[in-house]
Amino acid sequence: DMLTYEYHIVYSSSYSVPVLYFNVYKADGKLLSLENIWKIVPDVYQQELQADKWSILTQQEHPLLGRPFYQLHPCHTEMMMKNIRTMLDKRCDYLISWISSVGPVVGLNLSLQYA
Amino acid sequence: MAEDREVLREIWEGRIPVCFSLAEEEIYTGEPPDLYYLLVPRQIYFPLVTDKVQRHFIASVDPDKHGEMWLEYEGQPLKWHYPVGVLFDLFANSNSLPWNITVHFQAFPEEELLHCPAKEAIESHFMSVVKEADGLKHRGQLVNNMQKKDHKQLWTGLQNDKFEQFWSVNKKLMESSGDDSFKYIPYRIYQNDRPYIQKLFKPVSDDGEVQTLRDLLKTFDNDELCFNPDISSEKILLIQGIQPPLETPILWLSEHFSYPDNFLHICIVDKMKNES
Repeated sequence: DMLTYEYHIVYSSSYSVPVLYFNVYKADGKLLSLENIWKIVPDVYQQELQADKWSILTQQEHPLLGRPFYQLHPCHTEMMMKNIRTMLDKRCDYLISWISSVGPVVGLNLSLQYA
Repeated sequence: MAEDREVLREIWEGRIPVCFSLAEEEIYTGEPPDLYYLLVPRQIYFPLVTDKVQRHFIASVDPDKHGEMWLEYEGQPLKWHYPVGVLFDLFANSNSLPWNITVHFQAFPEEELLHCPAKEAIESHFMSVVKEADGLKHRGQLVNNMQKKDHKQLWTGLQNDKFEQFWSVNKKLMESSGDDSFKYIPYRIYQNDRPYIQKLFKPVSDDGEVQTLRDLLKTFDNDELCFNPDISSEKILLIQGIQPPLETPILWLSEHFSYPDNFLHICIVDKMKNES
């Protein structure tokens, strides 16, 4: 039951935030369905996800490659990052804070070496 | 803006006659099924009107071998998440009507097409583009301050072809009074051999010059954009099926020629195929 993950981070000039795009492939090379993508979001985020899944995580067209990718919607990123960075030391790398916040929702966990 | 309201209405009412046929290699039953004709609004997305098409053709397909329906034109899979009018301008020939589209139920091209697992997928996609447009125009302030029922009204207005219902909410997103004009113009430029291009562009330059469509095109270099109208070109530029004068202020185009998702979808296509 091996899954292969592919992650892309693309800066959105429309939202002025980074956006996470990703794909998950089964062992036979086929793309995991949206239903199953939602199922593998960690339990700790499931409640929030189920409340609004169609607005949080859906398939979209990659803005540079023009191919289908799953995407975490950027609408909430700006607000979330504002809240996080008021709590943290502002010198902390933006991208690291951002990835460690949104990454785990889609299985992307950073090694502690980045801290 | 009220004076040009008729333009909004005409754009909204644009229709394209489509003739659907089933892919020959997928015909499983004896007789090929009848062709299916539909007059499709330019402003909507195909999955909003193709349930009937699906029901008509599915009886002729091998029941053990069919998956999600998808559409193709001359070998080109059609992206359901683009408005119908954009797909037509980009790939079809306006002199050859009806638009002959092939229906498939097998070999879904996953590397090219998004899946459309439910109606919610269309609504979610539409709203995400509307939000991005507002992010560009108003830093997202207008959409985020709207009530959920207003968001819903945009969607149901589009889905049910109700111009007044749609525009009673959309006019708030099209607000651009004086200095409070759109910060950036929401647009995408399509050329049929590459992903669309989109860059930040202000409707008024920092020197206070009102920007035109020509000014927008000038911000791209020759690698990015194969269109130079000053040189006799084999390409033309279409928005909503129309070739607007390049001197048109981009703000006016954004207010009047945008699709319901609030984006200007600009297509650069070969001149040859659009001339008889």
